[in-house]
Amino acid sequence: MLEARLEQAGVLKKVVEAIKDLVQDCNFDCSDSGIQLQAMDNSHVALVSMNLRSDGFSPFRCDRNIALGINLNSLMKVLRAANNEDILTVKAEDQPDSLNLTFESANNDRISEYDIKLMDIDQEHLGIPETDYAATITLPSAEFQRICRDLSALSESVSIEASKDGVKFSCSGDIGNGSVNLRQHTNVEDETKSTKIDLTEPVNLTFSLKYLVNFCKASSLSPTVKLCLSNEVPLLVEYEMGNGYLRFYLAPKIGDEE
Amino acid sequence: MAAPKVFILPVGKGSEDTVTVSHTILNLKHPNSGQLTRYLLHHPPASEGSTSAPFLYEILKIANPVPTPRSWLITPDLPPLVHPTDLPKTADESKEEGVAEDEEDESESKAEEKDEPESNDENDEKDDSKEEQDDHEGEQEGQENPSDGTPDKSSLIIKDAHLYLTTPIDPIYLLVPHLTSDKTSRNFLSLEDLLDGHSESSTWSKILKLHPPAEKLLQSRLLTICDTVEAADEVMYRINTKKLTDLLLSRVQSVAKSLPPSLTKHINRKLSKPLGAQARSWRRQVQQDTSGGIVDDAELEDDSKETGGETQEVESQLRREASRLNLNEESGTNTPAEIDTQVTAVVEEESLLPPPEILWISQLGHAVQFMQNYVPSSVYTALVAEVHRLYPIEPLEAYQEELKTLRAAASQAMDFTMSHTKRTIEDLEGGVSREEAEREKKRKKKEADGKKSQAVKKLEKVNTTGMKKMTAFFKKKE
Repeated sequence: MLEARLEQAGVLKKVVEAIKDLVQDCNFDCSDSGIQLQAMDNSHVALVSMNLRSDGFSPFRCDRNIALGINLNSLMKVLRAANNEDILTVKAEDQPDSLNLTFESANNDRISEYDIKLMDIDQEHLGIPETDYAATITLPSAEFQRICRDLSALSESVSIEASKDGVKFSCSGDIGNGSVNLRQHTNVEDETKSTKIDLTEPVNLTFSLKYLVNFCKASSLSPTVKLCLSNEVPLLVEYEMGNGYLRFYLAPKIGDEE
Repeated sequence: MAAPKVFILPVGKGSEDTVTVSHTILNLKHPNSGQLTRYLLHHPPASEGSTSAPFLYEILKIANPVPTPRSWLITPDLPPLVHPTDLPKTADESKEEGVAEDEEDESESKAEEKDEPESNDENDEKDDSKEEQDDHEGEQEGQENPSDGTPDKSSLIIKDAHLYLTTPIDPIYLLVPHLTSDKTSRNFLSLEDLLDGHSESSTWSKILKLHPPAEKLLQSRLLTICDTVEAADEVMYRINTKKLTDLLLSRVQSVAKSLPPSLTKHINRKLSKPLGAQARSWRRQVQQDTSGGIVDDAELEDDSKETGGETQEVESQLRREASRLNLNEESGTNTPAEIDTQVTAVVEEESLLPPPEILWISQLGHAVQFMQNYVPSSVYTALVAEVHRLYPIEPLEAYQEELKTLRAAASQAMDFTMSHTKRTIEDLEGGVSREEAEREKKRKKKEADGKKSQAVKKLEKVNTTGMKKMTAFFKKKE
């Protein structure tokens, strides 16, 4: 039996909003450590990994491991009925065929309750090793979103070049080319507006902008985003959530100069 | 005792009574494979032998097709038996029969008076049906003589209806391997030396002994492919590959011009645009609809036998799937390739035929292949190269490429109509149609697609070239 109470329905809402355009159905794996999710897009070139630790819930109870197979579009339809500030409670049996969601409004005594039918999803999990990345860039998530959006108007792919001078996002397309340079800088007033570059060696990789734009839908989850790059491995885009994370992995484009 | 064999032999020009035609079977190396092959030497007496008449004959075996049991019935010189359905044709044969000769105790050839009680087959070599009679020891079967009703003791049935056909062969082909060999091709040699040097010189001298005019003929044939010099009354020959190729080329061209209809039909069909097929499948469907949507296999078989032509054509679509086997039996002596031709015996519509120049290239290609059997492979390659130089093959290849796409489009269109036809059969057999399963799959996929959000669909279309799958980086967990 699963019972998890989330203070802010908005967290789950934003998570689902961020990944529903990447994957359609996926399993929410519930265990006593929390709720995890791992899924690939249909082309299998990107992977999303979510972790909501149990301490983010109060209370959190999960007697045995359950995989909740959910169509994210259906879940989104239900979650739209919740306000961001609502208290969300999810409940499921041990062998569930539906998931129960309750939204409690803190202001008034409104309680809404929904059941979503579950589905069996055959999903394999990939083991993602801890990696020491050659470059780790932390920047405001809104900044990253803007860069991706601006450059995607010009081209399908962006090359991210990290060196000791800074990080350069550049692209070239039919109408011309463009680039955005970011230097390391610290905002003393607001730590989240700083740009931090940790570099062990310079890297230069190319990625599909369409996917990056998609990842940026998670920007509302966190004021900062962490980009981790190494040659020959997928890019990691991580949004920290306080009691968990939402990570996106994207395979680099190799041998395709566009 | 070996069973007698039926031969069709060349005939001398003399009158029936005086003829003493002689045939000898010789072993000579095959010009292409180098294997010993039997050839027939026809050496009529000097009085009638014309110097230009062919003297060497190739022996071809027309084999009895395995699935159709047929036999020869050999009777003495009687009016031929007439198959009721075959009347006009047999009349023709009997005319030719007049040329046939009787002869006694020829050592090698066992030629028999021919009669085909079950001759309902178009594919036999009717035109050449001159046969001679001889040799009926043993294996005698009582046979009612149709004219007087008395049993004829000297008739004979041979179990296998194999027919050995002798056709003239240009002796040049047999000499070419020798002429083009390294040893001979450099020097001018007299015919005598040439044959002396031949690895089968004893056979050749036997030929010249048995048939003296052969020498003259050989010389004249050599002239066409050799350079010559004259030295002390003797003409010396040396192979000229250009002349040889020219000769072969001219032959290829004349063969290409007169390919038998059975083959040209096949070529035409292979090169025709596929619209016809489509039209046929529609017609098939229309016919089926009128018959209540259910067509029995056996019924089809009968239909086609009775009405032939048009019906067969219409039915070919269905039959191709359902009754390949039956058809095999019906079509008798055809080789598998020919069966195919029959299955889709189509009245080719003019507009669907390939352009003449394409057709010509294709016909040349087929004609050249015949040559492969008669010349050494080195000469053959040179010949093919020459043909391709004169008639580049590229247009044909381009056309075939175009045809492929047309066919694919047509078969797609046909699949749709065929699915109805197929299902009917499958329903009869109680099986689940593959077509149906496929459609079910498609429907499910569509349903799944319907659940996908717009954005997911859009993301699927993103160009992911150069991007490896996640599984290439991360291993599956257990």
